[in-house]
Amino acid sequence: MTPSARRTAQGVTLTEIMLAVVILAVSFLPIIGVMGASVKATAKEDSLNRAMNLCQEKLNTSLQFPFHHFDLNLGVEITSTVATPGLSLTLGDEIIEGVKYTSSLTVSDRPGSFLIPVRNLDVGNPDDPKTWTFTDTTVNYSNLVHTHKLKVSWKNKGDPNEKFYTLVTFRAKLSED
Amino acid sequence: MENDSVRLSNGRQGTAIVLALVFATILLQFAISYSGLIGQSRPQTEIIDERVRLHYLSKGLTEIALLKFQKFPSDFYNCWRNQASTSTNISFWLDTSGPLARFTIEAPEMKEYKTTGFAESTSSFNNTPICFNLTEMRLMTSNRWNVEVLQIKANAHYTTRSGKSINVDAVRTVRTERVTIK
Repeated sequence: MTPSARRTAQGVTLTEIMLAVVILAVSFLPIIGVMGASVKATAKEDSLNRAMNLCQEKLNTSLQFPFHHFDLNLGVEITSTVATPGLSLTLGDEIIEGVKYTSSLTVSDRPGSFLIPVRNLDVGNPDDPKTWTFTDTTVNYSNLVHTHKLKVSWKNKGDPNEKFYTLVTFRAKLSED
Repeated sequence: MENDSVRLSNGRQGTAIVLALVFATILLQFAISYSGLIGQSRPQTEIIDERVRLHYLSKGLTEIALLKFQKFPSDFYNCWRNQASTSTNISFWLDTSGPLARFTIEAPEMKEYKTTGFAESTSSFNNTPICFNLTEMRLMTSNRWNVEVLQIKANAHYTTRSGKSINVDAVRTVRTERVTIK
């Protein structure tokens, strides 16, 4: 082998290695991209879970207030702290780990009607339930059931769109209230 | 000998590139699989979050059912006694006909199968209607211990974007006192 031929062979090997390094570097790019996307997705899910927990916590607290406590605010979105002796609920803005969460509560009346099968007292033997007959009666009601809707909204870092999470439940005026 | 070494060197030319390409393909495959996994985790989060919503809706329905019982206890007991005496089903409170069913599981106010008009019965992710209904309302009375207990069960369900049906039950058990008016 002549010296010039040896140099050519060595040069090719160096080029090969450089090419291989470039190929590997390029192939790492999507991996890094996916990792970055994964970190962002985890952060989004973390803020969603935090909002969900906040929402549950605040809704549970709102259900502890006396039934008629919200009578003056029925149908109105409440965004400031509400309180009664021994109980308070923080609404409005809260900053947790750099993310601002805004909570609001809307309590509204949920009127409805009950279908009641009423026994016909004049028909059948009072001691024999088999002989009883019933007539369906509809009883309308209002201000006996409230809808509690709690909404938590927030913005993820680097995302201009507002996200929100809402929980809804019903609260009835039970005899213990 | 020198010729052999040149042949050997020439024979290995391109090996590093081939190895790098193979390795790069594996890495790309890994990236594709990983991004697929991330894509799958989103629907899981949706299901977990919606379960909480469903739980609160079904819990709210048990509250309404309990209100009905508290407002009309004698009518409930009349229906219960009639159903117990006429039904051959050992779990007669699950029968869908008769006055007890009309008071409980078949009452229109206990079946929220709405498709429009109810903001509370819509999924926050895909506007799919959430259906919720009372599934059971029964006395668990034992004369032996002189205890009167009412158990109310409600179910809420909806279908996810991927077509998966999600069901959540809420159970409320309350102790009641039966007063006989003479």
